[in-house]
Amino acid sequence: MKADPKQLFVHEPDCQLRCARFSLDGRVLFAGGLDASVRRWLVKKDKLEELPALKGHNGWISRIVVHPTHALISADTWGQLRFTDFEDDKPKVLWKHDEAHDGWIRDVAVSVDGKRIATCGRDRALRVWSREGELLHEHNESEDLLAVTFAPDGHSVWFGNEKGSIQCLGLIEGELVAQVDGSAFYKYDRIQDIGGLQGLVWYGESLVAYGTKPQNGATVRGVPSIQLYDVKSGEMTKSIEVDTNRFGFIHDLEMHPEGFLMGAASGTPGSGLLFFLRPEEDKPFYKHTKVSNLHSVTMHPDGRRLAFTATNRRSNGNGRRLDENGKYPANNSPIHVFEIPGVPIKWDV
Amino acid sequence: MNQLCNPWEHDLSRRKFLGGAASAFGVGAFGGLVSPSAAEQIKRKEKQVLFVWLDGGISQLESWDPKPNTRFGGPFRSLKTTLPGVHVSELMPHTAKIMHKLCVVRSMSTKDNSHSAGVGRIQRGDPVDRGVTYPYFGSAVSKLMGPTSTKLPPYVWVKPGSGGFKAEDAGFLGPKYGALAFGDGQPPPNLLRHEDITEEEDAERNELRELLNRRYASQRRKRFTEASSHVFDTAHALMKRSDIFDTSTLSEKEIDRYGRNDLGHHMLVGRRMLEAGVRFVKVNSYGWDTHGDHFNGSVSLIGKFDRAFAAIVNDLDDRGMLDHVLVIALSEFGRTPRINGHVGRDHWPEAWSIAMAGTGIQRGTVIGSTNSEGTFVASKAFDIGHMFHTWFRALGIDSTREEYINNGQPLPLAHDDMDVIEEALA
Repeated sequence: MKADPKQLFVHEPDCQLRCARFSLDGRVLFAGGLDASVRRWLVKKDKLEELPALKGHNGWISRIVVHPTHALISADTWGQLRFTDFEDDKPKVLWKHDEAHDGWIRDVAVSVDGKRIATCGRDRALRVWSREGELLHEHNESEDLLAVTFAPDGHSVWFGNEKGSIQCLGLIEGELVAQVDGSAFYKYDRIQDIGGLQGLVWYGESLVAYGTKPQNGATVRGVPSIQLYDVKSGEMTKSIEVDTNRFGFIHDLEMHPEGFLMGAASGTPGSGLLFFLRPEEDKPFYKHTKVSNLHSVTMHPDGRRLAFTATNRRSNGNGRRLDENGKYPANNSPIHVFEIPGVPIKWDV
Repeated sequence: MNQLCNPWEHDLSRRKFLGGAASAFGVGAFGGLVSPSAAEQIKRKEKQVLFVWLDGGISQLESWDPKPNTRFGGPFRSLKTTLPGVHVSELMPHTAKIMHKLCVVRSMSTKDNSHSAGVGRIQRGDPVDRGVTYPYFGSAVSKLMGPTSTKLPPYVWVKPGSGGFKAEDAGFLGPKYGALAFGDGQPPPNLLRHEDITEEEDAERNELRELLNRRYASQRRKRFTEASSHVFDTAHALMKRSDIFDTSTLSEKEIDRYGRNDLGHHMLVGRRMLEAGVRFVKVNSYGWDTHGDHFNGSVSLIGKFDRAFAAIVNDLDDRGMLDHVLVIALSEFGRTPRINGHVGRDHWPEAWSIAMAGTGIQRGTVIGSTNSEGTFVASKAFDIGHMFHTWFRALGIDSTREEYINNGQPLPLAHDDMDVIEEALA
């Protein structure tokens, strides 16, 4: 496939966004904000039409995941986990836990059959919940847990911590059953622990860890990277540096139905990267660098459209800077909707 | 650099002019002071300072002045503290338990948003520009108060990286009042007398050294030879206290309480130096300039500061030392409310916080406030000049009366147009 995505339109929300996902039917785009709300838009041909936001979270929305039942799971940095149904576009909270974790929920994953939900957080806990919100498993570690994913068979959960240790909890055994080395995603600089791991996904039978290989602390710089693992042998089979440290962190990575990985990366203010990558190859076959600081990318179920959240230009600066009205300005996250003409439509919505 | 200034650059009040003139008659022309009364001298005799410098800029929003669930508030919760109605960031659970011992100024508003100028401006108190380079606070205290009765070096700097004598801190006071820096918290190499050299041989060596020094000094400007001699003398005093650096006597529990990292270790060394009688101890941590990945960085950095800071304040309190040790924790500025695309916060001198404790300072106080989003100061704003006046007063030095004399020129100790923050004083 020769990828040559074209921009369809840009939507300018009034807040900064951290994560975005299309609904299963592709009618709605969800995004988690730094304003504690889950934003929603109807996806139209040439625009996004805003629906009422979901309120009731705190801090930042750290993760949103679409459940196979069409519900939305949302998590925040104060520890709340929420399961919201959207029948007839009317949100109905089926259950929520205000203190699913003590503080920042770093990641959320859903098993392929949708029966289980895994969460991990800054409280160093890994928890597995039933679809109905009942706590099924709990595992505690000594480090901040940054990423989690179910194994494709649903019998185990892989999770990674700040130091780059990536382990597997067997849900039948109730104990750790495997481990791979992700220490390249960690660095200790001066007195700062820098955890570069941002997420775990699957590429066929390979476990993929993504994030940054940190080079220094304070204003963290690092090389946007992915590492693939053969989970049976525990060996790392491939390590790919997607670009230079200009683009820092791969914040999001999703599988395209065509069988490649789509990633969103962000480095120093102004530097953003959308890339498509076949892990068999050594470098991305498509890069888009004309937008600032990408934090999320999501594929529409039609396999043709994609949306990513970026950041407005000139988002940084020292000291007092006021806007034309004399007010202190905030940043926002423009949502870019692209189309990939060369991709066969898997299913129309 | 020419440290002299011209008469037309002076802008002194009549009262200060008279005070300065009096001092010029009272003391030698170089580096003198208006003599404080004997009672004042005694009162401040053994006061000490712990100055914790977080280089690069700690975020006020993730520490002393949280604004949870607001537009710029970031991802973290706030914690109740031992001070009713006062919250700090959830990243400071240990400090939350000692807030009743602290005084926090939340309405700092200073002038400089660059590191290169900001570090110096803040540590020199940003006085009215008279064309001279003012001393850092540590050098000022070293000059104004001298060593304690232990005769240990008056101004030491425990820092990561290299050590040595840092004369540049002293500004116009002259190199003698610079900082003796302990790189990585370690003593200077070869501090101890070599075991092959007897005490008598060492004394003879010193006699020869002093003879050569006098000969060398007779042909050079006094301020520089005086500094060389001063460094040797202070190092010599330290030779008798090598136990300060001996970490083998520390319990595992004590090390854990401070944290097993550079900042924790350096804070412990700092505590030992204060216990030994060093007048002014600066403990430095680098790497706080979190323009990118700020919130994860804050989890790691502020978590380590929180542990070490609470530990030393508690230890000083338990030992009764907060009665005579002034504790200050600060950076060159705070960090922007706005969150940039690299998930970072930039430099923000407009509205930030400083924490204090100890001698002369009001316990359990929060002074000033920022607006609901933390963007600007909502009460009376204080500059670093206000803090210098306040710190001098806490140490028993009346910065509105005493002055430096620089080559006959009277110079105020702190910004002429600013004064103490009365609410901060006990």
